[in-house]
Amino acid sequence: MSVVGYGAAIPRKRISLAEINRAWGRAGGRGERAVAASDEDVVTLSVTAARRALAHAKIPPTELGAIYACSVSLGYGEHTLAGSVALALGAEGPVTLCDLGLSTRSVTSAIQCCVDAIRSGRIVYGLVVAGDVLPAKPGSESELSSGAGAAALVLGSGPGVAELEGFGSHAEGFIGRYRPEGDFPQMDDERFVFQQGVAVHVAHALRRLLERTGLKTDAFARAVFGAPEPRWGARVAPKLGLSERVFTLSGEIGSAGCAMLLLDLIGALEQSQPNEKILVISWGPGGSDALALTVRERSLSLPTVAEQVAHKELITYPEYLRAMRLLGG
Amino acid sequence: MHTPPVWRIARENARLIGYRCRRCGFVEFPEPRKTCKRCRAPAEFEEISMGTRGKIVSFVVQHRLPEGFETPLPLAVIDLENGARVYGQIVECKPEELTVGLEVEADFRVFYDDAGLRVYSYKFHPVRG
Repeated sequence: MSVVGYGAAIPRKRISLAEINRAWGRAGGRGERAVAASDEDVVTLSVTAARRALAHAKIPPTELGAIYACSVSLGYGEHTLAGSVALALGAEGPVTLCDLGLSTRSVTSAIQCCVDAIRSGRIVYGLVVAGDVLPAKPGSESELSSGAGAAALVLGSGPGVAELEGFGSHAEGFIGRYRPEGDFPQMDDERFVFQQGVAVHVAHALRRLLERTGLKTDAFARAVFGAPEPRWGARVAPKLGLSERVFTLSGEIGSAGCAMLLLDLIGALEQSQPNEKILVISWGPGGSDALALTVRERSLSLPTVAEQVAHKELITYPEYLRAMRLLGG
Repeated sequence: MHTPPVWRIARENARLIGYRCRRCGFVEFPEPRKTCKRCRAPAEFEEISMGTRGKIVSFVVQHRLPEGFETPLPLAVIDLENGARVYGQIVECKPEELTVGLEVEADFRVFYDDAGLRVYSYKFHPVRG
């Protein structure tokens, strides 16, 4: 089971954390976050990422048997991201569409669903796409980390860029962070959510992955960690024996919700050599999934994540409020 | 995508599909017609991919527009690589960067909001790096 192609889409606009802090009379702030333009949204970013993934995989859209689309910020209670991507790609007809969301963990659920469909022989190629433009209450702490972006993987049973070695999952009814429809994200006690939720669930998922694959944590050259709060990855890494090996773009683009895990994975793939292993761990309301990948071929999808991170336009706080439709028409 | 006029051209808008007159080569977008605009004869059209890159032939920058539009708003006539001439908005470009002949690339964007439902199509941004 392989990743046969991948693609990423990161908006060009960025706001520095220092600029956000300045607007609210606070000092300091390191790094930047990506901001979707007023005419960029979950659908446009996801379509762009999906197109790039198909081009990288060198397969026509008509070969896709299923599209799994994830987002926690589509902005509709009833709609379809998977269907919108299918239309834009030209992957209509006998294609299974699956819309997932509600939790950043859904992106690894999507990968598992896609792998199951391929293993069963029902489909040959499947597309997993994730996109988010995260809303944040002006002045809140989450405003400093809510970014935007999309990423997509084409999976298939033949050879590819990277091979999927196995999964480990842990499920619980723990929610921790949530967002009422049409509202901003809520989290009462961040330390509690991390200590009682994230750290526990991730350790269980990783243990199951290692048991199932027979791998040890030191087998992994890099680890990527997808969660609503980007800093959780760096905080959980030492507990798992993965210090210094966590790769993330969150300092440059903030968190892109469901897409963050795949964007970080693509960034890690761009830097990896054949036979290196990458550990992928997601967390979101409901628990955690871990999966192991072995890089087979160093092949870049254009534009690369590194190029997209470098090509940026810094904007001011009022421009950011306009782009997010929080101010003006 | 819920109204017939939007749905009828959703595929063309989403994938930059055009219709080429078999007699003179003129490309119609987004809908094929019974008569070709250029050779003015009853025409047979073939479906083509218009490509995603092109060059600006002419442009205008709008500075005063009703509420709901971001200004300055650059609009351009673009010749696409496969022979189609289209009209579109330029994004991610400062007005002073615009020139005739500037190479642009199609970018899938929100076009407008139709009673809470977003409608998508192509805009264009300068080719960079």
